[in-house]
Amino acid sequence: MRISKINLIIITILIILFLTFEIFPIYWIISNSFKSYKDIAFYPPKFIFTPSINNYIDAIQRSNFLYAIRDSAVASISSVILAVLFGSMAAYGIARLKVGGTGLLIFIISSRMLPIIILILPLYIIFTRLKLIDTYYSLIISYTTFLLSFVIWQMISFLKEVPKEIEEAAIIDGCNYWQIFFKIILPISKPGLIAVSIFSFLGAWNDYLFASILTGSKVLTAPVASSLFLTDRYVPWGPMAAACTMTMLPALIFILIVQKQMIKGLTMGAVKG
Amino acid sequence: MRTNKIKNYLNRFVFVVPSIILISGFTLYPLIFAFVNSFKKYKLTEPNNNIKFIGFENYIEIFKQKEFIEALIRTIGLTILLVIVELLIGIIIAVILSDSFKGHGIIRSVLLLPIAATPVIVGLTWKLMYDPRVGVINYLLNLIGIEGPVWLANSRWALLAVIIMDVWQWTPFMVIILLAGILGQPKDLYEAALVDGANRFRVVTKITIPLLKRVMGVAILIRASDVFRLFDQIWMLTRGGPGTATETLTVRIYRTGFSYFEMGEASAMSFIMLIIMMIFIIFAIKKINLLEET
Repeated sequence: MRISKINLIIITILIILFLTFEIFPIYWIISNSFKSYKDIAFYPPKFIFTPSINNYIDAIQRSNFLYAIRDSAVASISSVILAVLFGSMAAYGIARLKVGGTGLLIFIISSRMLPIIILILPLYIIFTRLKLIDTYYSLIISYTTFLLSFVIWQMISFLKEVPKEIEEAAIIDGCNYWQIFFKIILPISKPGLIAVSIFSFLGAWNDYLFASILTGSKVLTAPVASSLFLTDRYVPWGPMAAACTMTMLPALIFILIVQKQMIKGLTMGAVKG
Repeated sequence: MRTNKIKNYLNRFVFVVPSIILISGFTLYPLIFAFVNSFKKYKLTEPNNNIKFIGFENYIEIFKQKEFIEALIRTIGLTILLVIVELLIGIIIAVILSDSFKGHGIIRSVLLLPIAATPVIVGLTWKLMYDPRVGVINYLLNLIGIEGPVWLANSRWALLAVIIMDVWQWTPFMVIILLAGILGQPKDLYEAALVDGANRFRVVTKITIPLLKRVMGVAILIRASDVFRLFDQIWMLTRGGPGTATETLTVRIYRTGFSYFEMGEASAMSFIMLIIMMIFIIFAIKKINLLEET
């Protein structure tokens, strides 16, 4: 479509403004994490300053932040692996082996619509009784369960697009369901599995509600540890910004590496083809 | 023969067993547990034998609470407002990007960042930026001659602060979904319109947007159910304050359950929330399906 020069300039400015608005807060928290105590408290805010890594040293030493990163990593990576494995098994069972039918599907999908807050109060009581409060298990079980319905839903719609001929040939050749699942379904579903894993990872890594209620002292995830910098009286902005950067950066870098799959995942439900 | 059939079914059934166990044990059971609790006087700080059934009293009690009613109305209002604002900006940006910017690479990367950002960190980041003493927002406003408010200490400005933060984080999501929708539309319709001499605005309103209805429907469904549950960002930015000015339903339930330890009332509140969500989702899914048929 043809656009006049003046319009193009206005449009370009508009887009640049929008992108600046979108990138600025992320730039700001990262840049503040490298400011010295004096520079952060300085008004007007400094855009040019001598960078220092003192905030990182402070955050790591004072609040054991590296342990928080480890806890987040353990909880989210284990949950993603379990959710993707169990979820694609269930998707294979429902979509291909005709187990359960629509009733089971509705049961699984409606569990996704639930607000987490409704489950968190009972889960707290249940995990206390199971003596699993403040352990990795409570987080991994909760995350896996919560991610499952999403994985099943997405993998069923992915499997619908995949031709059945290879599986049928494999059955004739005498393969059992497990062989078909591991040797045919999983390799064929790789693009779908990657997109689903990215979203599951983000969901677990970015979680605050589950982690803040079910854990908090022996196990402490990065988002919860970052939130602890916020106190009523005094906020150490520098170390907080460093903690924020360390929490957010792994997810952001990961997303930029796999952005094609991420976009596919975002639009998987909405746009066909 | 019969045993073979059963054996075959069991062989297939094994595949859904882990999912059924997990979802039953850690979603269905807690849900029933919460439902039963909503009819009990259940205070976490008191010994277990003080828990007793009180019928619908929790439900009656929460509807007498001004804070709950306000949080309910505020949450619904926020949901409608945020979805409309993000959708409108999303459409404008997506339309512009779809025909003026061929290389989307960098733009897409920028748009993905807020979506992937940890909600808690988003809240903390905006808290730093809104800060009355060291905050960069009022400084930037000052540069263009505007005296910035004390954002988070005033009820109205605090609500606006929450709105800006959410628009920042989730408009990119709308842009990406709508852009994918626009780029997937058939080109020949556009060429025909161009031959007929239709101008840009008419093409957008008569072709682009009507064809986007299904995509918009899905985007609205996803965003609305997210905003309705909004918690992390607000909990970091304002803790629902000042007073209860920015309390959403989830914040109210969290407070009731984990600050006042009223598990019964909190459960009742979450069921009211669940019912509203269910009504909306069923309505929305029907609406989207209808659009698909036509």
